[in-house]
Amino acid sequence: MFGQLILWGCIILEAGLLVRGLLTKLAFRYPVFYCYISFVLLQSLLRFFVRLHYPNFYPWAYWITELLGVVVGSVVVFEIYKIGLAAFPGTAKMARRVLYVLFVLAITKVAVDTWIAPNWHRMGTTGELELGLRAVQAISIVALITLFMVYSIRFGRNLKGILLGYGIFVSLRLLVLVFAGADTGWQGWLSRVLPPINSIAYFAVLLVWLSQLWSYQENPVQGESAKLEQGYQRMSAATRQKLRDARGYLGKAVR
Amino acid sequence: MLILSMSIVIGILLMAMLFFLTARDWVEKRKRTEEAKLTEADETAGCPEGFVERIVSRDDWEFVHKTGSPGLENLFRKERKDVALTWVRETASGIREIMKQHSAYARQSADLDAGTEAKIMFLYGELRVLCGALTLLIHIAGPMHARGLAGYASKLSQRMGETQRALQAVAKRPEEVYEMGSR
Repeated sequence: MFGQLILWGCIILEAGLLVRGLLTKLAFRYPVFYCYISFVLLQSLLRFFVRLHYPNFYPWAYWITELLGVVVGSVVVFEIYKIGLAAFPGTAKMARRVLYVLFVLAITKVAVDTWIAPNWHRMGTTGELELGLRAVQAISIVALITLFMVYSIRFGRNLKGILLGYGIFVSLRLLVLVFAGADTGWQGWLSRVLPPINSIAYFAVLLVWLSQLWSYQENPVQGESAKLEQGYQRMSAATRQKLRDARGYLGKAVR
Repeated sequence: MLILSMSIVIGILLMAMLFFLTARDWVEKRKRTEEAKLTEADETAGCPEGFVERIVSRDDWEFVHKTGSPGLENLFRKERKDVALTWVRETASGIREIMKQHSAYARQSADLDAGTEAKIMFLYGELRVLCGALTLLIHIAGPMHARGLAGYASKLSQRMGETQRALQAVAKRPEEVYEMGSR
């Protein structure tokens, strides 16, 4: 009963999020994210329909839509990076390289797993596949947050909300997948406790998204756009020199 | 098993990062309030010439020791330790300021080099660890036993101020920074 309540609550919130997105035109500013929400809404309805009328096909429907959701979700990470770093071409280039490497690694892993295990569509193997992809998503988000923090890059309420909500969702989903197979000891206990927590957390994530994306808020203007193309190498050389000096002095002081 | 353990670490790390991201605005607001209390002179002047040498000097300690008052000795030790720790904190803060200013200018650059940035980050991390080690040394052995601090302290403080000014000038005259950096 409680599960059904959460399920329908999520569907209502997802629909509300989409309606607000269209009304505030945020759906056109963050198209991938709103495509993702539309996908998740359709996914929930489809799963419900299949479970009701074709219960034998439910595991298939579940895992296929789940894997598609991971793929669409990965594009959301790219959208966050693209919009968040739009004003910083150098930082964006660096982040793009890191993200490409991570996703190429993930795709390679999927390809290898499929090749090694031709019956990969079985529930257990598909779960492992999702675990690998979610881990890559989590690493990508960690890398992005690190960049945002190191370079003190600020972003508006909307983007922060998307990042925060999706990050919470990915981290919890990752933990659910890690303990999914366990049935004894504390791991077994976690495997039973985490899925309902995950559902409630997803409901909370939808509330975060709805509140943070209720209206449009422009991303803050990030300082002066100095022309540093020629000065970067010199500036970084100066920084390194000064940090080395500081190391020399501190090192001597410790001795 | 390794993949599962790594996944747990990544999941928890992501949650922690999200927490820090959320807390960042609050922390920065608090920092801005604290920084507003400091004057420009306070931030860049550093310690006066010879000040730190005096703080870690054994002369004062020997003078206090000769009085034969344990209470006075304890008070002296505590005061000196506090001052030395304040110096390390200020030095660490100066290093943080160098990185902050570097990041603020570097993020605007179109040809940001990942290798160079990684080297700078590594150097910065090393310095923070060094500051931590110094703090520990002062706590354990006391400032009088870390005599090597003397002489370097004031020079370092001055260099920190110099670096801050140099980085502030980068957008206008990159050549000047290069000259200062290659000195």
